[in-house]
Amino acid sequence: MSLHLQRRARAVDSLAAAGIDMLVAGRQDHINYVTGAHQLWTAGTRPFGPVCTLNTATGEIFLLSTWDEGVPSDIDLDHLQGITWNGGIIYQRLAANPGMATARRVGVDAWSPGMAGLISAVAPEAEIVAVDDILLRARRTKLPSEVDAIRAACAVAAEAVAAALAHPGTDAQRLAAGVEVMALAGSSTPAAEPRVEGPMVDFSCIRSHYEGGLGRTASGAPPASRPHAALIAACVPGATGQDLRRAAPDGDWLVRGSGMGFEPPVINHRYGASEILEAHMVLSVSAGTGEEYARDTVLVTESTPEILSPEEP
Amino acid sequence: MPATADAPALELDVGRLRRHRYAKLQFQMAADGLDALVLLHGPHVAYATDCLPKGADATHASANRPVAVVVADHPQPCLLGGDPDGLPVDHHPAVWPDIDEGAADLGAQLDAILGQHARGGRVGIDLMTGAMRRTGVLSAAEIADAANTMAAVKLRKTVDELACIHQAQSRTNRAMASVYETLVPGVRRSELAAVFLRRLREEGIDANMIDVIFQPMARRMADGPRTTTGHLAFPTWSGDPVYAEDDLIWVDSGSDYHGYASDFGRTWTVGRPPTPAEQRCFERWLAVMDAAYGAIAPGATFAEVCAAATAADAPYRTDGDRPWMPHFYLVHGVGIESAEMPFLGTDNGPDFDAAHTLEPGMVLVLEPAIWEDGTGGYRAEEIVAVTEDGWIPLGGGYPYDPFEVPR
Repeated sequence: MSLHLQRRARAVDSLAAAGIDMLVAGRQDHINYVTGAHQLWTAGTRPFGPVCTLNTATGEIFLLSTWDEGVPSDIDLDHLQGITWNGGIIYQRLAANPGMATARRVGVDAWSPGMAGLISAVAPEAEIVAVDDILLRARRTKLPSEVDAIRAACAVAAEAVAAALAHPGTDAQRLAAGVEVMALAGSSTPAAEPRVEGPMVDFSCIRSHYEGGLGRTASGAPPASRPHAALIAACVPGATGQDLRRAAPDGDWLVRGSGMGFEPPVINHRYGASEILEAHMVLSVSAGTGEEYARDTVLVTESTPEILSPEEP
Repeated sequence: MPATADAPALELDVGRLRRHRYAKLQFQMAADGLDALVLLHGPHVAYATDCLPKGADATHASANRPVAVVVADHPQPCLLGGDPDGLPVDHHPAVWPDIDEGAADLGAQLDAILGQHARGGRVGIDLMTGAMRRTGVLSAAEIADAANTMAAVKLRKTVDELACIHQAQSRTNRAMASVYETLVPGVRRSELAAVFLRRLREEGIDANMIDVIFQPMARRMADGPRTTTGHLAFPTWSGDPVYAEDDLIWVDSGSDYHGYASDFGRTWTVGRPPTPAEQRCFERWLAVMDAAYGAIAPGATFAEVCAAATAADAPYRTDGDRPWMPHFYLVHGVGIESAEMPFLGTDNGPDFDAAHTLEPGMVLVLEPAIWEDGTGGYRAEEIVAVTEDGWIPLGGGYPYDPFEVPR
């Protein structure tokens, strides 16, 4: 089964188990996860709107797209809905969506007063439930093909890091060089904002839906003595956020999920103490500042963690 | 040729930009009966606080997003998180509204900032994350949709907003000029993107807001992607094509200067002059633009601008359709979003276009598109601002090479 259908099955199972009849998704990461569609990347936060619906009983998907370019063949043209600027058309589409009028629980991945009113109008019996947590829970552990995609994205980001480290110019020039090399290596879309600040360099990208990233300093690979190394070593199944805090009691650090972009869990000194790590999670582990900075993308395995980002960029 | 006229001197005064926008927000909140605004969408946060959005993937831009709170009659906005350096804001600690623990923090901070307004007050909000719904953020307030308030304040731009758009466009133009020089047969899309992204940085632009588009157009619609409109597919996700000499490429991009978007659109050939048929499409496009420019004035209805553009291309059309892509518009606005009101010639229909008029301060991106099936087509974009007595170009002057503007 193709990767996006495996992912969709995970999402449908999780939503159905929570009693969700219909998903109305507006977040591009969730849409990519369930559809596998390649849609034009745009930066920044988004307002909430109904871009994709998924009927958990029938598996039927409707996707906002005027064309079939980049859309997997299991979503046919008659299940694509063209870009519209007309609120009445949005209403009519949702109202005509089989299963919407009788839905008891409609899941949304974000919420706004206007969109909540619209969904209530087309699904008057339905409870509107935020299901971003359910989807992100399903996404938390990665399929083997997802790990491959993340590893490939890390290799692209590593080329940018290497270029910025090798460039003799100002921070701004080094950053521009890194961005240029990253595009040549396979991604013109950043994940986080790239950073080049004196000795520290950090690049990440979205490549074929998946994020890869790493951070290094001019002095090369991070020594095993740093908190960064202690955190990576602590990324084993069953470890809690509290365990990570014990592994790195001092300094700034962040351990968070990485997949189709930024994902939970979020673990640092403030949040995530009760999170529990599982095998097949992929985590971004960053720690330190300036000369002490390092970040890697790490796969939690049944045994020792596997670093997916190249050690020497 | 209006589109190549020199743009006016527009000097950004950041202090004035912030004061004008904040005053407009307070005025509109009073008109909408709001006690407070809570804003989570990056461009809205920037409008209220001048804490600028980042050119990051949506998941990253959302994860630890800054939040803006505007309380009625308070002298300056509150900013939760973000970088407050130099901003006239009351700063509060960062929250992570996309995770439950962070949303609970946000709820507690909002209760403290809003005081009695959090209990029974009328609060406009543009978005709630799932975590905010789960943790009951603002559950005791009367919630209104802040989208309406934001749409009202941003419709007519201040002089400093025009200056930002002018800068965004001018800098994007210079970056694109470098890309055009590298476009030769055999070059890949990734190579063009690489030059563009480097040059944007060199022009002082940190945020590229859309994956830059260099789409090779199938000469016949039937050879392109299938569409819901039966018309063109543009702009699509396009992988990493290698360009050949006979390709016709539609270019589109959007970057950000001080929170304001540019919108570059051109049609390029690959290291060759256009064919006579391609040049004819361009001249039809120019005629449509001239007609639209002639119709743009304060008080003109959207329908009048659309009718003028359509009439200019009527000699070439028998099927009643219009010289722009049916899934888009003849004109869209640009500002803190790359496409925002006003929209002219959309699927909102002729009654909508007849009922709405242009007003001074509106910024218009004109993007007619000409198509001759079998030949291909011509599409480009130009930005103008409606003034008290007509319009001025913003960021203009980018050439139409390799197409020739008739004298």
